[in-house]
Amino acid sequence: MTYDAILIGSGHNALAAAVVLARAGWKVVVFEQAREVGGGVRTAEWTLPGFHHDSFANRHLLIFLTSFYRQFAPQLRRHGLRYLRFDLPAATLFPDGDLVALHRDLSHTLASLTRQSAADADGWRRLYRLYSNLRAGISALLNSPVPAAGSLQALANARLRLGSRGNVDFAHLMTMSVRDMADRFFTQEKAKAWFAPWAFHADHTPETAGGAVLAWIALAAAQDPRAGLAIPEGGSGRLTQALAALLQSLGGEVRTGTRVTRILLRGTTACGVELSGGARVVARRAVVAGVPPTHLFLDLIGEDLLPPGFGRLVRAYRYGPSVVKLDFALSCRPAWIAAEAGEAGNLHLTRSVDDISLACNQALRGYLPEEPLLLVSQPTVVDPGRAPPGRHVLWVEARSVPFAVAGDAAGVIPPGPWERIKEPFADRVALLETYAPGFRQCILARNVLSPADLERLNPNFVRGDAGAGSHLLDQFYLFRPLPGWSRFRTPFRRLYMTGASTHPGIGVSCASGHAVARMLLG
Amino acid sequence: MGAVVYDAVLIGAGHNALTAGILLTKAGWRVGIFERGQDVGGAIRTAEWTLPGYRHDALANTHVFILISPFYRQMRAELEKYGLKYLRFPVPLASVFPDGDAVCMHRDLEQTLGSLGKQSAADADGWRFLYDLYKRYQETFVALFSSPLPSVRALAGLIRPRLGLGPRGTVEFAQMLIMSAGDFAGRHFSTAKARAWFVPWALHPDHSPETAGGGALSWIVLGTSQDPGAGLAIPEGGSGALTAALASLLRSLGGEIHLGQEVVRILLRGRTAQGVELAGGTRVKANRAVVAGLAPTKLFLDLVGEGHLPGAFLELVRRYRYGLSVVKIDYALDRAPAWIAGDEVGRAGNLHLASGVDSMSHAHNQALRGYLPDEPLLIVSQPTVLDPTRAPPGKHTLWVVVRSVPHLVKGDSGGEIQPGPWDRIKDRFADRVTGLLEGYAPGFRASVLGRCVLSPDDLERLNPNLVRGDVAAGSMLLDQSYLFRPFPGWSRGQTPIRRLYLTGAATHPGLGISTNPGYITARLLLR
Repeated sequence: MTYDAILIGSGHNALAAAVVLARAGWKVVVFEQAREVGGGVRTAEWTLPGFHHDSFANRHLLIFLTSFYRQFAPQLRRHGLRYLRFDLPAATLFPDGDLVALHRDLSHTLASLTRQSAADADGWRRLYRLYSNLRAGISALLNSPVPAAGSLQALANARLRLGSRGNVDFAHLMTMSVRDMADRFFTQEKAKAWFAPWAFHADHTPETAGGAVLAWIALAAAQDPRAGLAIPEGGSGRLTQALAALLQSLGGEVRTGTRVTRILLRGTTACGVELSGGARVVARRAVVAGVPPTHLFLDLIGEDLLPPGFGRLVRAYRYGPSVVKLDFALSCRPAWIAAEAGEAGNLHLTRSVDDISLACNQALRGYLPEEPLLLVSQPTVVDPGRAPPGRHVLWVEARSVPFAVAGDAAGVIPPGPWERIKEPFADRVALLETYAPGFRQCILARNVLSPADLERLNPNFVRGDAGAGSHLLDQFYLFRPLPGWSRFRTPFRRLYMTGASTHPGIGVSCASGHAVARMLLG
Repeated sequence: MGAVVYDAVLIGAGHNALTAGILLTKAGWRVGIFERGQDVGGAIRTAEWTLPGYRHDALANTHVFILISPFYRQMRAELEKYGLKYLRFPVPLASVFPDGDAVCMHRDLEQTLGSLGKQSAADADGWRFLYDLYKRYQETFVALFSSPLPSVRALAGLIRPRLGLGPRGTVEFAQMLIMSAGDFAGRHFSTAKARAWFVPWALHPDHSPETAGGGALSWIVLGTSQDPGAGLAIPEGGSGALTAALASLLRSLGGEIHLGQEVVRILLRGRTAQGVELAGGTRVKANRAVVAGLAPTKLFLDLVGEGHLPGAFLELVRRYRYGLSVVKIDYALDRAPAWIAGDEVGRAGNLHLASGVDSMSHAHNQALRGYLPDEPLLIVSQPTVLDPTRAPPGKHTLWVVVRSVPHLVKGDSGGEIQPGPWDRIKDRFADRVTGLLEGYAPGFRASVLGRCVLSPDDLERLNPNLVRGDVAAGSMLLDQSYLFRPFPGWSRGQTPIRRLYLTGAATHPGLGISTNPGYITARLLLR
């Protein structure tokens, strides 16, 4: 068997790369060890028949800022992808019944913030304006490899609108922690707690440098009418299914249940892969691996074949803290203590930035947090088809938890393997009851995924890190995945990387897949 | 004095302003320094804070960076003429653990490796690798910390071809500069105690083990301390011997220092600084420059005035951020502490007392959220190990900084101290510290003859540049360091007011006894 390009793993980035290559006339195959395509973007009936739960990724946001989506949206629609948007994409709900909301309509967002204070509305107005001025640069940064002349140029152009010190200002924003950015632009605790949690979808704490940009861009993109926050009708998996269908329509092959066990090398050139049955498949032009660097270089190649010094970099690659993910099948809508929360696509449940800081710090030190930050997604608000008539699904992530548990900050759950503690910990998430009294009575079924489950389900989630590697500043941008190897290349000719371990990291975007394919096509 | 005209007027007699004053005077400028206090020194002063005969360093105690600074290398002989004599510890630093174990840095590298090797051979290898790399880069670090940023010289030093780094190696090096101390330690050390030996130096400014950029700070302090040509030292007689020698040298060159003279206003003509006005109403003219060794909010909001600054700049000033505070405790002791970790630690200049990186992280997080930590990191210095002149014969002093505490206290993680103003809680909190010290050195409490506790409020009262008790005169996290210190776009100490400059810890490279901010300011003025 001979192909132009072999892709390892059928995550959305590998599929996007394959689509672009196949359309350029390359003979392409994608090998996926699981029975289904999708990687971190899949949907399944995790609880009861008729209830469709997103296995991992749920909300789609960055994809709308990508050149890939702009180019392929019509074809993806033909293959069944239809995005649904929330009028109220995101909100933070507080235990006292107060709520701060991001509405699709900017003036409504500002009104919600004004209930906290006029200064807070002004803070968001300024942050959103700054995003609008820098939009082209942000989009270029997302879509290009780094370092890239293109993204630098786009930022330099944006500088004209920022004033003479604009570039330094932007670099400065990139190094801020979300706590400091929140303190700078907002005055009230609740406005800060509305802004900050969007940095924690990766492994930032409120205090880590570089987290601010993540929250700022996520919220601003959700506010942006040309971008927005959406979910695919029927489930996140519809995106990867549409990508796979489009790929097949272009002549590409997708082989599920097929595991790659080795990269075949001739000297320092990748020339194909070996499959678990022993079959060898030749790649004439490229092998593109949608797997994290530790797996690619230590397992599929082997440390003794790496150039001197490179193994040290790979072993130093760091995974972030983990999450516990819960899917609920519900007989009724949660009766949130703030009625408006019922319309929200995404809710963060917390009291304050300080509470989030405490929970993050407990997890960092190996403790189960006493009151984790809860990220809640309500897809059935706009997509009732994900559950039987009148029923609902709820997607909940408890952030963060340690992979190896040293203790429980609440002093209740004895430490042990996740298999034993995941259910008691999931019961703690009955915290939801505070925010939606009677919630427990609505539960028809629940499925709990521990960090260990996450890694079992998708080996790219090493130690349960759904970002496939820490997103702190020293492993981001120019340093992702490894310093000196930020442009999807490896020390091996014709071997490339894509996926969340590469720039721009976590998130449903297709950006790294598109970028690597464009690089291959020259 | 109203008739006096200077080339440069300097505000505040901290070591950086004195440094700048010396370099300007040497270049032929007429220089006058105006200091509100009765002594020179700013944060580097020594006084009998507890009992007669016990000489305690008010704030700064440990001298690391100065020994490899361009200014000291150039002026060393002259400063020694004015009484500055550095003493070096046989064991510059150590981390002590509650179980009686310790990890020590000895002046001799092999002995340091021996101490780390007791934890694990990999830890000794980790330090050997880091120290070798530090030595390769030492002059690059010196350039980075003594050049105005952005600096072509410092950048060129990084990618010098003879280091053989190449583009990939340069990116790898840049990654080391932005790693957190915890991750940096995790990469190079394998045991918890070796990591706990590495991390706490990043916490001297307001880094936590998790914040980006802290790792390099620890690495550079430890590397410099290990280097026999540099080292960690204290001046004989007290830290204040440095600022006293700087002041004497400045006067000998014809520079003037006016004590007890508070500057209350910068005199402007349009957007140009003309001089300063003193508390009594006297006006002093500066022909070429006014250099303020002050916290930026104080300079711009109090001495210049909002009405004289462009709106965008004013916003930068208002959002300048101060870091977490410390509590500083000086003890007069009847005898040297009997450390559970033994004699090796008894000979150490600086000790960090904590059970591990996690406990440092925990305490820091408590402080961030407004709580008094129940088990804070204790930074301890034992000057009398090396310098018996600082206490009466046979007696000792101990210098302790508690990292970190909130400026506004919302609660107590120990559940014992009622929140309230620092004046009311500082002694109870200091009792907690004494109790912790007792755990590391049994009998400590009984050996205390006198104690002086400085709360964050006391620190600010003593030195108004230590705003909210932040000893660095502004947070040193990455977004307020290097190119962004004090403000993005203003990293060279220049201001929107012509002829008005900022120097001191609020400017690059920030906290520490280095003379580098003053040296950078003088270089820019003399260009």
